[in-house]
Amino acid sequence: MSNTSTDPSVAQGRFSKENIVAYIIALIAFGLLAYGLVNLNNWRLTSPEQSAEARVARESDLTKAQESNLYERQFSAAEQAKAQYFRTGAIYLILAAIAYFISRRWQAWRKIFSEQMLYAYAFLIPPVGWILYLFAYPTRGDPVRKVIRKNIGIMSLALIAGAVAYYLVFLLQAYVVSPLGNQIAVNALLVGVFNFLLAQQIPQLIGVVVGAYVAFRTRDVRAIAVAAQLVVLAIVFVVFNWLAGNAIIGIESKGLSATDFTFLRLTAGFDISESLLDYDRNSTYGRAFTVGALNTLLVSVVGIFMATILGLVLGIARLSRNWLISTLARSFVEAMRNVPLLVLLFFLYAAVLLQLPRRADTLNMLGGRILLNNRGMAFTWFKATDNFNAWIPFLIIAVIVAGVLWYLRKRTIPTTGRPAFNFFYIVLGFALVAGIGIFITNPLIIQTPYIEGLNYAKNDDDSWVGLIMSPEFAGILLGLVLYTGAYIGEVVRAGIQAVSKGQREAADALGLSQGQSLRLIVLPQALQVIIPPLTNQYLNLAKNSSLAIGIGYPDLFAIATTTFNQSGQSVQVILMIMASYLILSLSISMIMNWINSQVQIKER
Amino acid sequence: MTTATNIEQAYEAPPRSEVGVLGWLKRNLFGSVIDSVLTIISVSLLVWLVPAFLNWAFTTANWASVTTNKIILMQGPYPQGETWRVFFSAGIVAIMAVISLFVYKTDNKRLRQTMTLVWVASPVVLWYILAGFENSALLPKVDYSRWGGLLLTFVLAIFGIIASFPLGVLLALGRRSDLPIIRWLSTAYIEMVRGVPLITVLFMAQVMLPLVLPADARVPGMFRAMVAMALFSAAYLAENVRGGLQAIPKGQSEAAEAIGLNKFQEMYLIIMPQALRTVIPPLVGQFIGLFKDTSLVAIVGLLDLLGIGKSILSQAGFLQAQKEVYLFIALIYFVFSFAMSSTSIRLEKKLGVGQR
Repeated sequence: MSNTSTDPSVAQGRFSKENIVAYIIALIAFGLLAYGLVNLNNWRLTSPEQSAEARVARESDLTKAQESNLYERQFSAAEQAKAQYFRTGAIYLILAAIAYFISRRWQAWRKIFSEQMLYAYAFLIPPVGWILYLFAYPTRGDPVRKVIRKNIGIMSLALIAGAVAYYLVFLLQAYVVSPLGNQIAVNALLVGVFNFLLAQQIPQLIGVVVGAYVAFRTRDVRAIAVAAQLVVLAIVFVVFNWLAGNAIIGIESKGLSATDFTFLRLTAGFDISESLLDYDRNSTYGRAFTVGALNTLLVSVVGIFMATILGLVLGIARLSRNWLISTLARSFVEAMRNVPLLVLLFFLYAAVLLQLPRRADTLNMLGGRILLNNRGMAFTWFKATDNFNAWIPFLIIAVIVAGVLWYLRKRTIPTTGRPAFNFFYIVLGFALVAGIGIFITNPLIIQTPYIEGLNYAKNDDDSWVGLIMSPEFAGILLGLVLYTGAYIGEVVRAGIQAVSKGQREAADALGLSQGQSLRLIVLPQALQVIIPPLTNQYLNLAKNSSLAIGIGYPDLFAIATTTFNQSGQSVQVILMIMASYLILSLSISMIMNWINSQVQIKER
Repeated sequence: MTTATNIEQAYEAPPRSEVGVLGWLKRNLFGSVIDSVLTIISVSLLVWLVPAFLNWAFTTANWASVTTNKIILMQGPYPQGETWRVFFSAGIVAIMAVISLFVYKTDNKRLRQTMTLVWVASPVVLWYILAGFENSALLPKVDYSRWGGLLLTFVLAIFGIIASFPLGVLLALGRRSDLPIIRWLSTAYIEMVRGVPLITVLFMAQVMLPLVLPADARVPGMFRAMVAMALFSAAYLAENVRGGLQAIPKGQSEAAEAIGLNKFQEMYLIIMPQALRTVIPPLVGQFIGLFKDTSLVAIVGLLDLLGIGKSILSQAGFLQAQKEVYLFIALIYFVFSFAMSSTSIRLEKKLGVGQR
């Protein structure tokens, strides 16, 4: 592509109005071209006869239908393919005619069309494209034109050979391969390959190959670039289309659909052990999925918070001058980093948390503030009273006060270079307003857990007394925190070590205290190094939360798997899982990128 | 001379509290008040925990859960009569490793190349020893569903890295390509795979792979897991390789163009050797990660080391042996991962990667 810029006629009015309009039209034309491609190959995706057939198959014997389906369809497919071939050809003809008209009319447009579109035609639909090319671009010295004229004989032969090969494969498939069935192991593969070749219409493939050959013979970098991309696109498309076609046949023969999301409104019928929302077995699949997504979010957010603290402690401990502390931290980090997370989770859950004493012998720590048994852990925690809503206005005012103080503090920086007052006053302002609110409205009470009957006690409104963690939640949380904490510890250590020694020495020379040197000199610089790998660790933690399924915590993935097992809706469930994790990952990286942009040195 | 001795004599011997054992203790354990407190806390923790652990390990622990199942842990449900094939394969690898220790130190280039060739060919040979042949008396066919234990763990990890390598390199090149369609496709693939957990890819392979292939194709669960591992690993490998490619200065490719190499030669002879060399450490790290990640196949129902360990816990008599079995499994993973990472650190120092 580097040659494009050296071509003076293109380089000249590159951004002129004409050119831009031409590019837009070219883009639309390319879209239509892609549309034509799709139509050419996806007879399986769209044909109404096929879905009618599948409906019949559903009603009759399934296995029998599945067998007959595949082979009978090949015959009707050949007919359909022919029809579509001509239909797509017509689309190309119209497009090419427009291109021809425009290129004859305006030189600037012609350049673009000749380079982008006509190459594409020439390479993808050989017979039509070549002839059009010869007409549409009648310059004598044009390299593509030369090659086409020189090779038109051999290329036509290749096309005919392709068509012959197509029908040969077709006959072999119908009379030799498919009657043999699965008797020979290799045959399964052969059936696959033959189905592939038939479904994708060999002439088309050969056309692409020959087109690419033409492009390479021109020795024109621009032509080769366009052709190479089109070939890759065609291959990706053909493979994907083949896979999707198979999947749709398989799914429809089971009487299901691949695109129908209405099952989310059906009753789920399974229980979920812990949920942040109201949920019971009569709720819908959609509700169940939301519950799972929230559980994943909960584990990820709490896990990220706790792992960061553990990581900071470990990172600083590893750099400690105290040999014992640094050795212990290093051993811990090495142990965590060299054992799979799933093994750690199984160990924590089955060998530690479930082996805690039974209810009758519940462990009691800190004078009853923490209870441990094999039904879970209980902590003393806050509970919102009925007055909680009355406290919210105070919180809002507190935030506003903090914001105003923040602004006042920053205001002097441009003139004097230092903030007007200590950061501490902002915290104080916030705490003061929020504290007065607590004093007046009494929004929270502290509850200490205790055991009542078979399990921990509950309040009248069916919420737990205190904070209760099930062994499953505690297991996944602990596992993620220990594992990711170890990695974050390494990130923190590397970040601190990356700050050059001179910086610290300079701080010492200026007479800063140890704390000041760490807070003002080392950490701000270390943060710039730490945050990008830290983002990776956060992403890993969020993704690894999917291992919760191994110990029975109902996270997004676990519930989606149950949904799949019950409803059989494979494609939709997988799409939903992947979309959810992608959204989670993207959100984390967006937040972290924003933080990263805040800590980086701002160069003006 | 005399002045020098005088100066030496002028020094007093260092105080006793600064040298020897006492000095070491003072410097490393009791440097400040906080240090001393931390030391005392951690020593008392150790004094409490280590004897308790040793006591458990040598008296209460039921190690029979591991010792009676050691063959099963190594090979899973692989037929008992064919166990020798697993150990034979392991033996071949061990012998090859010992021979290479000597071969790669010699100056004989021919010998070294032969050894490399043997290493490259070995996975195929070992595969056939383990999988066997139809109607063979010596090496009867072993069904893929019967591969398990540590054997399966290694097969998955090694296949994963071998298969993901070419794909990863192609994706890395694709992502740096000037051609927009190729760049977008590669980027989309890499970012999509990196955005989802491995378990979803494994799940997809278990559920979707039989679906997207023709109805007649039957794919054993092991192969499905292999495909998933390779596709997943390729995206991460691509990012590592891309890092290496970015580290190569532009002058290298310009020089290659100047001496008339074509694009392929330029990549194969100039850029790739340098790029791959710089990314050896992350690649080893990735391989360790892949080795650890194979444990996830236990969730989709394969009997790898972890899966088989879980099934041991349902044997009568070992129902309460979770600590023993999981500790043993953790130890195996630890030994191999730790050995690999320390070898890579040594290799890194020896090759001087990063100093160039």
